[in-house]
Amino acid sequence: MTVDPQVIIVGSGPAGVSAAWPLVRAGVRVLMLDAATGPVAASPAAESAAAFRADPERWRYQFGGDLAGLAAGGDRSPKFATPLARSVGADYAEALGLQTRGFFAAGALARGGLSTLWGALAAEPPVSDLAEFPGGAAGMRPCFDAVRARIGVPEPTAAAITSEAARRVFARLQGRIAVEPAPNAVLDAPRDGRLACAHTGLCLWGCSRRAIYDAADELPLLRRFATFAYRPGHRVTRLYADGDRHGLEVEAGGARLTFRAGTVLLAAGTIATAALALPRLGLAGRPAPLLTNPAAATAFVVPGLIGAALPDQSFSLGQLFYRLPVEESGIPPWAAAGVLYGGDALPLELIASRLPLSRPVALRLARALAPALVMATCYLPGGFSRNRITVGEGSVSIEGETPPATRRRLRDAVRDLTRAIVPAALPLPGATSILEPGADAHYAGVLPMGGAGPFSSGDLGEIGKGLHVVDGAGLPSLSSTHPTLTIMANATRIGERVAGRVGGTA
Amino acid sequence: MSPGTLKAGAGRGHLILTGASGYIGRAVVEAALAEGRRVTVLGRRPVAGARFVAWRLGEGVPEGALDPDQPAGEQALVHLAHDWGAGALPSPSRGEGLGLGVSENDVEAKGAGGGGASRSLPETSRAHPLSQPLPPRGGEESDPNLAAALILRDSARALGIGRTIFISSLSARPDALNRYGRCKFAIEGLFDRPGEASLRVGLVYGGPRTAMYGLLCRIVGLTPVLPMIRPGQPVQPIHRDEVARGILAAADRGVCGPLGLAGAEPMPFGRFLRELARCTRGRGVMVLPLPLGPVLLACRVLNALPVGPTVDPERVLGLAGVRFVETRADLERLGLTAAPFAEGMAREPATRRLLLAEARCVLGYVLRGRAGGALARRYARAVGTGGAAPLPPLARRWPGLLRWVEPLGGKSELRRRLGMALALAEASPEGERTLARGGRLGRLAALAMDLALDGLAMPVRLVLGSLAR
Repeated sequence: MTVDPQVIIVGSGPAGVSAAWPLVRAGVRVLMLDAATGPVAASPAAESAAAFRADPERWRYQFGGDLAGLAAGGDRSPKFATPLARSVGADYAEALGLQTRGFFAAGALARGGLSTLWGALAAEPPVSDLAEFPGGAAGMRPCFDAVRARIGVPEPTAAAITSEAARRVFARLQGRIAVEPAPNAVLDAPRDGRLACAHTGLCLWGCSRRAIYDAADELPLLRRFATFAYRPGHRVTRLYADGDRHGLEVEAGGARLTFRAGTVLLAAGTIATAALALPRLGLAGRPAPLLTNPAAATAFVVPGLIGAALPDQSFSLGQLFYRLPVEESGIPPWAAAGVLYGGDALPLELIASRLPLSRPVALRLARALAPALVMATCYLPGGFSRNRITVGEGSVSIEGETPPATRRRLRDAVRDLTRAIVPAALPLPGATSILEPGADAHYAGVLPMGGAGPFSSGDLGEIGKGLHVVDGAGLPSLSSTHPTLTIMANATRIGERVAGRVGGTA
Repeated sequence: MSPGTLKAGAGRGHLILTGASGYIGRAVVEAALAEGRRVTVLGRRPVAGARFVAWRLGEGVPEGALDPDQPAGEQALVHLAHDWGAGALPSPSRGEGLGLGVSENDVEAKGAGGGGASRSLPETSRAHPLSQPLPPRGGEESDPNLAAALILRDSARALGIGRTIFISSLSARPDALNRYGRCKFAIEGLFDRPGEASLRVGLVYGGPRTAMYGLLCRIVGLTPVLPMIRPGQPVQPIHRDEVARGILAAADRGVCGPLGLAGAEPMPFGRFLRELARCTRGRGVMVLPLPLGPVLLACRVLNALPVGPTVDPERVLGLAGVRFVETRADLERLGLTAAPFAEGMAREPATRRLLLAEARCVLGYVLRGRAGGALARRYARAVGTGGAAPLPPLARRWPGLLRWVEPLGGKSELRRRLGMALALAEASPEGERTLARGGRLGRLAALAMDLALDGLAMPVRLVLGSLAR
């Protein structure tokens, strides 16, 4: 195959593979172009959290062989400071000519895209948050089911909460706010060559068991289909019209190639997709809206657990998922949402760096606090964000800001969460911060489906005949619920419809 | 090795060197021998590993210096020797080859503005060499170095030597404030044929602490407050090993004309000294800009003392006349990159020793126990090119004292390093052992004690912190 693909998919992230599945199953000839070249950083392979803590090679995973991770830090998620994140994000800004002001832009040219770093929260947004989607929540529902079945999202149960502190907070929150054990795309049984989670707590540094979902793990499965071809190291740099087909200029190992197909699905990740789509639409130089979830982070301490020994088993992704509905006059009801994490697998340095004590004491206090910590993120719907993305000649610039009213809503949401949690856990003084726009890495809505005006796309994310936006860039709205599962469901929906339209030949 | 024999070379051109026993000369000989070249040293005393032919400045290249097995056209002469006594003042590194800018006339030119330090000195110190009358501007035409270079050049040409490299200085200019710079410039003019080149060397550092480098190392060790004139003057440091590589490259590549062999990025001399102090002494120096006069006076007083280092003020002040010279293109022609100063110093064994000592101190402080070698080396590697941090002297002996001086906030270097030490200590087996030790109650009791002590230390840290600001 590959000589004459019916459909070209740009990008191997969650959206790209989700769109690919219905196509290859229908026998459509698919070519996936992926900018990824080499493998990402290796993941530690310790047997347990305790074994990792005592591992003489631990520093290598924590800071990287070049120790560059020591210089990292900042107030964004700790997962962006790991050697894994740095290898996943390598060359991204350079390749895009990315410039930001007041905005944090994560991105990946790596295989599997940002899902390589995904926190794996696979929650379905409430029905009201899907109202603007083509076909509404009812149209999306089967796609959510299909994605969950495909990638493996175990039914969340209280038994899956590994952190004792989170367990106590869960007991307190039940009945007070909408809270559930976090629905994570983390395997509880082996599947497709991946192993079940063994609670080693090394999630932050990459799971060597591959228990955490990563779109890259779906590529070998897709490649079993004769109609699916995958080309790594092929970065699409420009789209152009080629008669009634679409041409793609591609850079591959220093060479410049061109590809053509009647149907092209853009799944490069919201920012990279915008960089390709906007110039194709003649919208270069014009600022487009870019949705993100305004975010705050905070931390709580369960007093009774201070000084306890760190557990042998641990899990550093989300333990609990919560929603806080908000009634506000003048606007439709909305909800803040977020995740609660245990602190027992977190690098103590992250805690100690915020303690105004001498370093030896800060380290010991951090160690005492770690088993008692519950960290929380709090996200607002994307409608409260205010970011602009402008694509120029070989450049992308993004400006972000958090409007005062959004800051107030974030503070109010954190306050409400705190009121619900106290006294099971107490807020850690000085631990609340409002994150820089984009630090959530939930980028969406540059060309919303079913929108009006130049910055919009059709019901199938189409921005031209046979040219579809299938990743976050096409979302009509951004729920406060983590968007990855929604993006995958939407890509599945578009893939199914495109498959029906293109028709299989196999 | 007996005179007249040559070690078999690996094919590259035979190298004939004057000034081989000096600071740069030794580095060139070592680098050449390491590359398997044949080396012949012209001078008053032999240098280990090289063939020796007796020679004095003012003599031509002896015919016996040539390698009879190689055509003369494939051999290279490097002229490093410089007679510092020629009309100049005695210098601690006299005869050792290159220093940067002895500036007798510099002193003369600014003496009036600087309060006429030499005139105000008591009669008794007149006997000191430093207070002898300074030679007038000009005089480079009669400088014996110029005449000697001419003789050497003519003999090299007569013998048909293929490449002649004259080692000049970045301060070489027709209008240089000091005689040294003008003299070097005049000599450069002699080497004007194809196959002849002059290398204008910048401020050389690294290796044994002799010559200008040794002097500067001693100066920054003298006092925590270093008064100096024009601390903003740009210098272009280059590591001694890079200079040696550059000289060998010039001998191989057949470059001609004057070429800059100095760091491409200029740095203020004051910052150079501060970083030098950090790398060689493990402490900072405060550079205090001063008018010329008092500095001169201080040097004279110091030199009059029977103990302590001798500081030739002219050598230091010579730096005042230095200008930035673009060297990037020249380094490229030599196929050379000059590492930034901090990076070059980080490779110095002494810097590394200091850094490991610091590692044991700050890691010991955070761990409250001994840091293993691997952990200490990791810390040193993480610090990279910054050199050792300024630590209170007593803290090296008793790391626990750092608790009383640890910066409370801000972005100080010590704070950054303690943060790194904490992160590395936590991620080490010894860190895990320390943190997991004991039962819960014991740990909590110790923590309570610690918090109380930290509370006691807080006022001290506050006061020290505000003093530092």
